[in-house]
Amino acid sequence: MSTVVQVPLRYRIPWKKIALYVLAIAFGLYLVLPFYWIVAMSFMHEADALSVPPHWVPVNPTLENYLGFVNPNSAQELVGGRAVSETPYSLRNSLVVASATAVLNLVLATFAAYSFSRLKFKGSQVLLVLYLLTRMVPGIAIIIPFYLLMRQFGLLDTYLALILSYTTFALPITIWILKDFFRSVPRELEEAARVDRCGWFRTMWSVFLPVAAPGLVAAAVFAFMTAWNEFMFALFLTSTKAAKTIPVVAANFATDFNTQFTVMAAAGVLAVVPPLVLALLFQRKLVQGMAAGSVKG
Amino acid sequence: MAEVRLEGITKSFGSKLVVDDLNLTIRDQEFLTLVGPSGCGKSTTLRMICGLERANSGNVYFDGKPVSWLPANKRDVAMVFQSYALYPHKTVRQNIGFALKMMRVPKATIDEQVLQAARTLDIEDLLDRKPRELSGGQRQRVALGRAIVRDAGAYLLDEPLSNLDAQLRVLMRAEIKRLHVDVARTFIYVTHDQVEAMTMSDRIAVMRDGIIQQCATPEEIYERPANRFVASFMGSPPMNFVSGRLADVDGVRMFRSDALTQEITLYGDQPADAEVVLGVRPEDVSLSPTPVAGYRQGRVFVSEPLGPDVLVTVRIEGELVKARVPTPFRLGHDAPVYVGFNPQRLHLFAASDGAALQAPRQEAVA
Repeated sequence: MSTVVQVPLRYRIPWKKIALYVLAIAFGLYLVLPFYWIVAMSFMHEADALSVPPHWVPVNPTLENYLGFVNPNSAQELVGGRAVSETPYSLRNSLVVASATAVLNLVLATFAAYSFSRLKFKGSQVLLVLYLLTRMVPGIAIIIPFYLLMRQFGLLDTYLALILSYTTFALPITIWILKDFFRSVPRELEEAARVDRCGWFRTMWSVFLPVAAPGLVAAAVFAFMTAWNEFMFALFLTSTKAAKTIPVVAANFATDFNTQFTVMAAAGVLAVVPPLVLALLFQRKLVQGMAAGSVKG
Repeated sequence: MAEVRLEGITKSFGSKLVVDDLNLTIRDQEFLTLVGPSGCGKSTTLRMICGLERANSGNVYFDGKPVSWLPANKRDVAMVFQSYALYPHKTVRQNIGFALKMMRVPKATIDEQVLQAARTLDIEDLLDRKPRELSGGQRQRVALGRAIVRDAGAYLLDEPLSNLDAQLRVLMRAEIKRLHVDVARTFIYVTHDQVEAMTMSDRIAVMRDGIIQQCATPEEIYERPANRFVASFMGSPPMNFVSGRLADVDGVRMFRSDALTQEITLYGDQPADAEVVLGVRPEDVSLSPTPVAGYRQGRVFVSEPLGPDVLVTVRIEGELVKARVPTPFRLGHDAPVYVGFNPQRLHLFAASDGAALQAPRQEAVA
């Protein structure tokens, strides 16, 4: 007599999956929490921000910290006053410098990258590597010569000093980004434009650059961010609110003896807004399939 | 309207000679096809006609005027690219109208002409889509539309059907041929597909290694190929070739190989012992299950039904010969079969350089 042994279907706990999710969530929190904290803190009163245990959500939300940049109250005047009053200017400076750097970079890098991607000439590989090598030199090694140079030209504490410096940092990488991007644009598109009666300039303007737009946006965002985040050169080359950028002013908050954390948080949030807006604005372009549908798929 | 003339065109990339002293006149309103295997220089020739490539030497003339030094945008040509090369950021309407816009045609006229081209190609309802939203066949039509919307002297088509599936290719083949009739312009078509070349062209130029092997009507190319290369390239399945020698037997000129002996009724002035290659197209080979006078015995190697015909490969003394016979064909593998060649339809080529020594007589051509 035989019996059929019924093996009960055991429910297996998916440990692997759980572990994966836990790790993913933990990593997400690690990235997001600090940012969340400065955003939350920027809407808190100083006393709430420093309370123990901390309030994770502002209990008495206030715009005081933000209004302080325009119209500082007496407490804000007292603690970190200079940084507070300089913040709006530094934001403007940062915007101007970063935008100008992005544009200048884009124009120069487009010409260079197009040549590298489309023309065959002796030494092109060597040049490309050389460009990248310039980025291997630590900034600290060239800051003093830069400083002297800028002083010589009377450019200290001007936008131009920063824009020129940042362009030298960003340009090699921008050229590399664009060169690879341009290579992936089918050459036939340009040829089709030529046959469609476009001259060289028109081919570039009406066909090549629009197709390469996602690459151009990526390169511009990169250059903008490089300029926006840069601290050391800004510290050396600027001294007043005429050209100080947000990283320098933000550092002033930290070095102030009586730092008001909530105001500092508000400054931090303000510093994040422009790049964030930029990223959101161009996000679609950045991820867009470049030449989808143009050539055989 | 344009007659396109190529005179002594030579082009090399580095040390590689791609087009070698090419002379060719494409008549006004003609449909001429450049055909040949990959790397034979046909696309390069087309690119030199439209100005995307510059010849090392020689000249291109449009209606007798030299245009060799004109860049592509100054030549009066429209082109369909193999990859279609549609502008991905423009709608179908903008893609088709782009050249007209560049030529500063008034907007109303552009709209009208784009619509007309779209109607011709049956893509009216796609005008506001972007290329990525189109299927391969639709993209191909848009690429055609971009060319035909223009009032160009010559239309250049670089393997425009090679990315389509077989069914669509047959359909578009007929449509392009009809389009040529409708627009009545010079069409220069590049393909490696001999069926396209045969079906569409007024004349075919068969190229190999940068040299035109033969330029003639499809019938002429098929019936009287200038050499063994043309004979083997044009025709599907390709012509059968048997190597052997000429011999005089009892005053009759014969072709002799290990596998067969065949009486030759027509021949050039080759000496009796010349090494030659006999060529016979599969449709000129007959098969019989029973012995027939003058037929040689072989065995069925494989048979491939094609629908109306069956392609039968027969092994005769180590040589494989293909025959195209009407359906039905009922002999199985290795069954004995008797093979005969139509003596009126034999080709003979020199073994040395492959030049045609003899082809079917003119009157044999139906």
